[in-house]
Amino acid sequence: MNLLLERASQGGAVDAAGAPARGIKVSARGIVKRFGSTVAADSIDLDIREGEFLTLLGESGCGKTTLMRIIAGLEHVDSGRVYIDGRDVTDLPPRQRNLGMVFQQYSLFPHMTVAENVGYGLRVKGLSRREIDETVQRMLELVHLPELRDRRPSQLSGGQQQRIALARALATRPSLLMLDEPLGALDLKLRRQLQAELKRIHRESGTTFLFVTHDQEEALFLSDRVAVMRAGRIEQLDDPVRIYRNPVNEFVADFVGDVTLLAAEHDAGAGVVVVAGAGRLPMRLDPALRRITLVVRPENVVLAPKDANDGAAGLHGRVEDVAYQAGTTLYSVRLPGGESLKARRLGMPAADLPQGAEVVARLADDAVAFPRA
Amino acid sequence: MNGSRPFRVARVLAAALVYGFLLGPMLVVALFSFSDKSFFTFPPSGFSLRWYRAAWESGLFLDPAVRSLALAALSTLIAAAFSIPAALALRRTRSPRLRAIVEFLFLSPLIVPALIVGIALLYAFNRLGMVDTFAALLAGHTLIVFPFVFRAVLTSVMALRQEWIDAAEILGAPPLRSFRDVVLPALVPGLVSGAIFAFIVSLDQFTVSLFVTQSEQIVLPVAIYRYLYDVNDPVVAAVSTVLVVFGLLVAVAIDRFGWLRHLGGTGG
Amino acid sequence: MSATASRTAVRASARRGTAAVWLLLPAIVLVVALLLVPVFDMVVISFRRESFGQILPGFTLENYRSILQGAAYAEILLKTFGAAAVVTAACVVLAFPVASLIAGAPPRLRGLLYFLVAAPLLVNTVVRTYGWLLILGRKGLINETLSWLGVLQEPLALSGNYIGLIVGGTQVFLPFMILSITTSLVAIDRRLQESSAILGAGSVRTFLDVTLPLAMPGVIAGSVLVFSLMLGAFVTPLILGGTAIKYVSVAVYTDALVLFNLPRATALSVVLLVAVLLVYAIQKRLIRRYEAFA
Repeated sequence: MNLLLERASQGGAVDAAGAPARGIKVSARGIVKRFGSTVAADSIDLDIREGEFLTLLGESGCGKTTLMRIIAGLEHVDSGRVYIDGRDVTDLPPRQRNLGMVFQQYSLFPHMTVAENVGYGLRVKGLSRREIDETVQRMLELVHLPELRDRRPSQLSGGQQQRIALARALATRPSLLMLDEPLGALDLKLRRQLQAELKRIHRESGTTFLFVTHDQEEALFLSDRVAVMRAGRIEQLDDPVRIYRNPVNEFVADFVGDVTLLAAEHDAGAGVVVVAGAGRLPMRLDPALRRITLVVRPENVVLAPKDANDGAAGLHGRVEDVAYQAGTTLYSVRLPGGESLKARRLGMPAADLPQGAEVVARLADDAVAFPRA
Repeated sequence: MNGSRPFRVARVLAAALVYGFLLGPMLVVALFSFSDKSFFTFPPSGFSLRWYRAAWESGLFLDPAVRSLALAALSTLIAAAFSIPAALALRRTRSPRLRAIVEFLFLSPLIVPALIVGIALLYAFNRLGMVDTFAALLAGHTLIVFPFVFRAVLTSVMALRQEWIDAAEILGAPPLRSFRDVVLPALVPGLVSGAIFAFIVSLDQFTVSLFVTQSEQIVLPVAIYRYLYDVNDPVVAAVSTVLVVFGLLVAVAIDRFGWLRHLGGTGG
Repeated sequence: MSATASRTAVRASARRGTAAVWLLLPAIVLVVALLLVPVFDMVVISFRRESFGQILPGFTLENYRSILQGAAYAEILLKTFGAAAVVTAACVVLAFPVASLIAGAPPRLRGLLYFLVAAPLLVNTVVRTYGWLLILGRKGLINETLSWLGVLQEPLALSGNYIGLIVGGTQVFLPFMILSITTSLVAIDRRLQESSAILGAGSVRTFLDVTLPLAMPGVIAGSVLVFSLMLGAFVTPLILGGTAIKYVSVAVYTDALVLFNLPRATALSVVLLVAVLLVYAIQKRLIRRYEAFA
């Protein structure tokens, strides 16, 4: 999770106590939406803070796009209200909500030039020719593409099209800029470049961003806050670091990043957690917890060869697979109970931890635990 | 990987013969139109433009030609005006069954032989006392031409991306504005190619015109046929050659829109 | 509050639904008024009697009986269907070389080849048929050439009969068949033919065993199209066949505009229409058998 480490080390936009209070730009209350028998939004509440980059993260069908379209006014709600800048916009059509939107594909009008595309919202508003030209120029410079102003969309690459779409959406100074999986149609390298671009543009424009994606790495990299969604509900809304290190349930823990989920027993008195057949780990958890699921992050696991540490605390197992991935090594350790424990280390594979070696695993930090049925 | 050498050679030869079969008659007509004799001879004896002059001076063809052109233009316009809202409405229709039925209805004039359309309209217009009027001709041509325009416009309409319309809406455009700025420009390719088709089909329309008009409102194909029936000299060839050249020019125009392949089929 | 929201939603979608109906109405009225209603009226007349140019009220099957049981009309129907069948078959045979050529041609050449096939369709049918008159007539190209070469004593009767009709009809409708078969051929995966070649089959064998079956949907669609077009053809039989031959469309014309026997003309038209519709209905079923290969 190189991206995440970088994110966390930047200090982030939040601290442990939560983001400092800012104005609420967009508020959705009690949003319910059904499509036939499917519930796309199951009474959702969401506040988007001014200037923040908030991402709706989830698999297809979780309702993230529906929620965005409801805020945009492209879908009607069955019940609930939407407020933008304090105004109740629920019954207003999209054009009266002062929004911006970038779609995954086909955003740009094919028969207009880039400049005409970017200036469209301003033309509709009836601004003067000079004002439009100035704003268009400024927007194109913001996305670093001023030289393309007279081209047609068909002459642009996918990445360029999305940046122009961004310029067009920002030209009207929207209260909220929505992006519906805008990088989904691009290949990996281009996606990474544009992710960095997006962050920069967000910073420079100061606009509030609402982003939708199913790519959790992308979400954690870009956002000030992430809303993990499932089946029309928000499972957890937090900054990226907390989403990763303090998931509130198994779903979120499993969804974001690599993880090993272990069935275990918590012995509050002894201050240990016991994984049947594998061993025990010293850990301080809520005394009320007995049967638990342990959420173990790979970079939190420290492996040591067994012979040097026989009898010590830790989980005993055998190294089943060693995979080197561009700067880190991923170990798969088979525990006696059949579970596969993932451990990650920076650097090359360790000589004393070859495949087949007996090892003892310990945790560098306390893990997160949930009650198990 | 097209097959063995002799197979390919045989195929090219056969295809060449078929092409000759296809294009031959028109070349013969053109040849005849330049003949200096009033009857057909082969090999051709001489070159002359007198038949073109005769066709022009006879005055038999100018009126029908103008009428045919007017008919073609008007029927195309009317068909287009009917097609656009119909195609847009069809795009919004959710039920695929309803959509299929309506599409079939709109394309049905293609299936019914022109002969039957002719006789049905003859009787209908007779009852309305409209036989041999321009209005009757226009109605018949519009009906015949409508499926061609509709089919082309429908293809363009179906290629409309909802994202464009949503984007225009979010950028602040009211429905009429987004229709003008986004939807209409997207329809232009289909409209133009459909209109060109329709124009040609109307110009070519013989059967229905023959049934619906008797003596007053003659269109060009009927005029040619009449002349052929009474007299059979190269004047017909001259007029025909002009039409051939016209048709080929239009074919070149359509080719630039890449729509030539869609000529071969009714009902999609 | 939720009630207001849902009312807005319902109102909006209902508005969209009725708007769609209003948009469709003009076109529906056009087709119904100009096609469905007149055709329906036509069917009604076919059951009426006629006397001295007037249509008499009342129901009778006389028209249909004379058509379906009378020897004269039976001959007309038979010859029409026969001619249409021959034209269709001729089109299939002639179309394949061209379709195969286009399908295998490089993209640049393909455009030109398509153009040459489709261009005749945009030329007036009367003109195209007239061209055949010039070629097949008693003093036409073929006869003149053959007698100039000294081969013939008497001019061949190639027009004003079924030969002229079939030749002309084939030329007029051939482009439709070519375009239809080409579409099918182009859709065939090249690798299937390559596999056949690798397995040792010669070109002809590959064509018969691999290409032809896969091209059948195109052949069927083209055949249905050409057959029904030929059934309803009017210009070509009129000009190339004249009064000598018996063809349904010409008979309808004669009955309607020369003999003023509208009921009989319309009855004949109904029979023709039913035949055409039947052919289109069968098309779906025929193609389905070959669709499994796709």
